[in-house]
Amino acid sequence: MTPSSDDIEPTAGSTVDAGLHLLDRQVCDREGRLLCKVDDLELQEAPGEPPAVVAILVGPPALGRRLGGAVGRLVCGVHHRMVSRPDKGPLRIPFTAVRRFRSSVELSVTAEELELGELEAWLRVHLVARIPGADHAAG
Amino acid sequence: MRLGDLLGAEVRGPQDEPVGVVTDVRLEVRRTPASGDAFDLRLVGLLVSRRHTGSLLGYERGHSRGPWLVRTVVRLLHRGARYVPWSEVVSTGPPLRIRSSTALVDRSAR
Repeated sequence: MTPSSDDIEPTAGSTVDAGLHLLDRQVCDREGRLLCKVDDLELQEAPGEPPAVVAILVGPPALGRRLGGAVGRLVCGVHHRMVSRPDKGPLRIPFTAVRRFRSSVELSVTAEELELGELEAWLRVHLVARIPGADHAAG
Repeated sequence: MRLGDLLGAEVRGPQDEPVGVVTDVRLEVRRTPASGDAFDLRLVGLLVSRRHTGSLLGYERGHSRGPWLVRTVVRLLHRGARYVPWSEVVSTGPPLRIRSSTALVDRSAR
């Protein structure tokens, strides 16, 4: 298979280049909802076996560490300030939840099963709730 | 180990000679008859070049498409880029060390 192809069908024995075909790709849940981007991948080594991809890492802690330098520290610093549990680390999507990957990474689970809503929860409490009229129900 | 720790990592040979930097990580899809639709991705090798600039565009690899000018410039920047099988990696460092500089495979052959 040609690694430069945009649409990757994960057929046995085919190869992909992680940086080119997986990093920064859109992640969609089972129902096609846009969830996040692939910020990094977690690899696990086993004796006598080449390392395997075990998880997709998501969020500023993963992106900041990958970027490194001043930009990476800024990304991690902002995240540290925003969340209630800054030492929790990046969100992990087990790779077993990946159904296939083409121009986007498609999961076999829904967003609710992955607990990816921490940023949205922080914005709701610290930003949206402070907007005048936020406590009035719509309609 | 994270992919981000490998990307951009300095690569050195057995005599501590500089070889380049990791520009990408090649993964192989593995399925077993019992796994159904599930599959594994295994790290099988590293793409190593003298520099990282422009490598994420992918134009220096295989049968890539794209504007010929960009493709030509990126390929010039990455001439001499090599594929290193994971079996040649002694330690992930840093710096990442490989068993033999002569075992490098010309990426154009991949």
